[in-house]
Amino acid sequence: MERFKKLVTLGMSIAVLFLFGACGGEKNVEKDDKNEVNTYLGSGIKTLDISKATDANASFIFTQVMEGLTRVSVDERGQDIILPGLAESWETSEDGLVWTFYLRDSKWWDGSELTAEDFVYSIKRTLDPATASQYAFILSPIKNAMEYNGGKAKADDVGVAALDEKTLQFTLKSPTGYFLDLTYYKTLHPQRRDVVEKYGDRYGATMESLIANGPFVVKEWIPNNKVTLVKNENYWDKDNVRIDQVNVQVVQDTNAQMNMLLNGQLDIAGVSKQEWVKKFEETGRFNVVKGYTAGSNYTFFNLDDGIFKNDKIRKAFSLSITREDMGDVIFKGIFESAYGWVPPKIQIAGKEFRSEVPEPLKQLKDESPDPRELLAEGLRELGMDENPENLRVSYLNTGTNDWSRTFFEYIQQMWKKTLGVEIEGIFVEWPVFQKMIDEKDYQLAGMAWIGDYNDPSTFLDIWKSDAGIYNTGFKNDRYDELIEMAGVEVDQEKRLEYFREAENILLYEESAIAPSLYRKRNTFISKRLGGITIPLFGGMDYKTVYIVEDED
Amino acid sequence: MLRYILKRVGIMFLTLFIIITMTFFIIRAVPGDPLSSMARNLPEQVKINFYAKYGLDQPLFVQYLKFMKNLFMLDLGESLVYPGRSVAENIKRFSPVSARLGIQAVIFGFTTGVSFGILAAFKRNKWPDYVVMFLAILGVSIPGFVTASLLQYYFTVKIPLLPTTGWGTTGHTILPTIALAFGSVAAYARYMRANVLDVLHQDYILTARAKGVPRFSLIWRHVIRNAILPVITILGPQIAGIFIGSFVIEKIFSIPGFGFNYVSAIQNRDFSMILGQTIFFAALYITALLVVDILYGLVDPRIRISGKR
Repeated sequence: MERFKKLVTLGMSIAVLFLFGACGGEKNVEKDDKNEVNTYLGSGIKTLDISKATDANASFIFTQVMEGLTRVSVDERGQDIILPGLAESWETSEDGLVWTFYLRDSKWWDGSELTAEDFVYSIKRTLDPATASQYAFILSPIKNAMEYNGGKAKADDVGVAALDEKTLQFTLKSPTGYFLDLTYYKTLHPQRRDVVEKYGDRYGATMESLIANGPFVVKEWIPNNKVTLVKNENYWDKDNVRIDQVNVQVVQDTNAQMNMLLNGQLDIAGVSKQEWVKKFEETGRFNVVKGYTAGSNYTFFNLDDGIFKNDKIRKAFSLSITREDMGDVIFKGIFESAYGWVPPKIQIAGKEFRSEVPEPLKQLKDESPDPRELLAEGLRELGMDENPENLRVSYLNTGTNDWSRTFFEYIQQMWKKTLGVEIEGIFVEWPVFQKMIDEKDYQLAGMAWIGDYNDPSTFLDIWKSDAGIYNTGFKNDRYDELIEMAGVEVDQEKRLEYFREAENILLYEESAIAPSLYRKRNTFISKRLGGITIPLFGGMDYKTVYIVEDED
Repeated sequence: MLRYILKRVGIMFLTLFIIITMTFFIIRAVPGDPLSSMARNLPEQVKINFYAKYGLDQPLFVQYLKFMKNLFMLDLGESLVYPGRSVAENIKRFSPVSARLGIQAVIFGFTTGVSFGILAAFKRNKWPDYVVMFLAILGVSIPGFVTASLLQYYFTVKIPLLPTTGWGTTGHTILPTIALAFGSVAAYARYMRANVLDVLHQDYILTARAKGVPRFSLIWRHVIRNAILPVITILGPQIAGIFIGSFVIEKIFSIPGFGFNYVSAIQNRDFSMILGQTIFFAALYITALLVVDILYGLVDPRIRISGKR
């Protein structure tokens, strides 16, 4: 009895305490007038180890706290441009194989001198098989990089060397047209040997082990909760950094992100839902930045499948995708119809690839206005029943959520209407999807590809027959030859030609894949912020951001 | 009582062993590995280096033995997806967050639910009863994530009094606690109301009343004490369940908790993390059941006596 009373009393007092605690209420969001920016990440950061980081969240932090040889920005036409970063200048040898970078005097945030050796160490560490870096392949243009990574060469053989404290030299395997576009990439950022060795495997996983040489430093990192960045007083270009602090909160739920943007807790957010777009536009408090994300959505065919081995059938399926409608209905007008594979804004020879090369599928569409006709022809060639209503094919979807189902239902009705074909959906998680593709256990499958660097090769290399990325059974000798030639060519105009022909084979001649939409983003930015740059690659950069003074 | 507890602890370890072994082999049977979290196919050499580093290239049984050996030395290993973070550290960092929420929600749910139930029973067919029962029906039928989303929206946009995302201060815990407890408040209230009404019709209440026991004492010592017993039984699964249930709530309020970690570990095929968290969770669940049994004994003398003998 007594004990029971005690129990109840205890319970009650805890409850009372809790309620009081609740009323104590800490002060809410700190508001505006400070020189701070509030932003978010959609999920936690996996690691801030430069050699091991793979996720976009880590890239975002690196863009703010690190700097490589160069820094990427956006010019007034909205194209990515490469600005000098830690390298003041650089030069290339005639044959395009040797790149020499001259570093400026700069310091790490703790005040120690940054040297060319820091770059050499970083690259060799990433390539060391014992590091098991998942992004080591990005360094493959460097001589002996992949050989070292595969245990077939020594660290000393890798084509990177510090000629003196401030001179860094790369020797490449072959002239790489996009090499300069890698120099701002996170995997080519410098690392400090003493720090890495001090923390070992824990480097990049804890707050204390972080290093920085960029516009900001990490002041606080609570995993899966928040990151606070403050201005780096030892950054060489600190006079051009105009904000003092960036508060990055992890906000997983999309609706929560939208609510917070609406009430001013966030200054910036990507918005994809139409109802929210309208709401934000009505407030008049935001600038909208629309831009491409260097990615394409596409359907791909199993070329060894009994039906899709026929190119006419593939063409029929590709041409009957109602791209404009799909962009409007499923992607709320944010994504854009794709009749080519390489998306807009990707550059080569200082020009935008897409404005130089017309989209191959448009030509195909003009020549074969009736996809049903093509389908019938294809089926005839295969000696099959020509009536499309008797054809059943399966479509493999990655993802098992509502969204994948909505998307599939659209695809299903689309092909039913345009071709009269019955499509059956298979929904699996990504790992299962990957396995089924590897085993060629599919007919049609849907995916998206996001490029890694600013060159058409990041889109076209993956369809080389020995690339081993996606198992579609596509093998075209001329295509392989073109990709190989583009890989070693120094003359950018020639590379452009090779890529033009390769894309034409991929889409116009063979229709091995069927791109549907170019991915775009819709970013709402509070009018109190100015100077934000969102390059195609490398992520949003807060270096140049400032607070607009007279905001009501 | 002591022998009883010891026996239960023994069974607990056996159960744990079976759970660990089964989990180990089941997660390996599912397609995919930690590299899947990158959602793209990687060059062969990159995969080989990765598998070699984490011992994933060895035969499954060898991996199992190694894991069990480390486990015996209380080493849960390192995450395969979050390089440099140990599984134990992750549990230590994220489980207190979920635990705080869970405990607050249980206490809040239990006390308010039981009070509401008592109130409704004594004011039967009057307005407090109707209000409580209406709320109870809402609570039972509205899923937690809807409550959470609504709270999220109103407290962010309409009445920004409380923080709606993140973690750190007491203020951060209020809305998630309410969202988490809302359903159980309803369950407790309905349960308690029915029990109180049931007890009120028992003969011993009539006897007590006839003996002239004061009203407060009657309610406190005779009615509530008897009515609350069955409610305590559902407390156990509730305590454990609150950890799983918090995944959705944690996501909506962006709380760096255990539930969210657990689910993302499974999606990422982070083998060591899945195992470590499963062991932790299973141990917690089994302990919770044990605690409820002991608690039950404390409250109900009949069980206590049989336990002693």
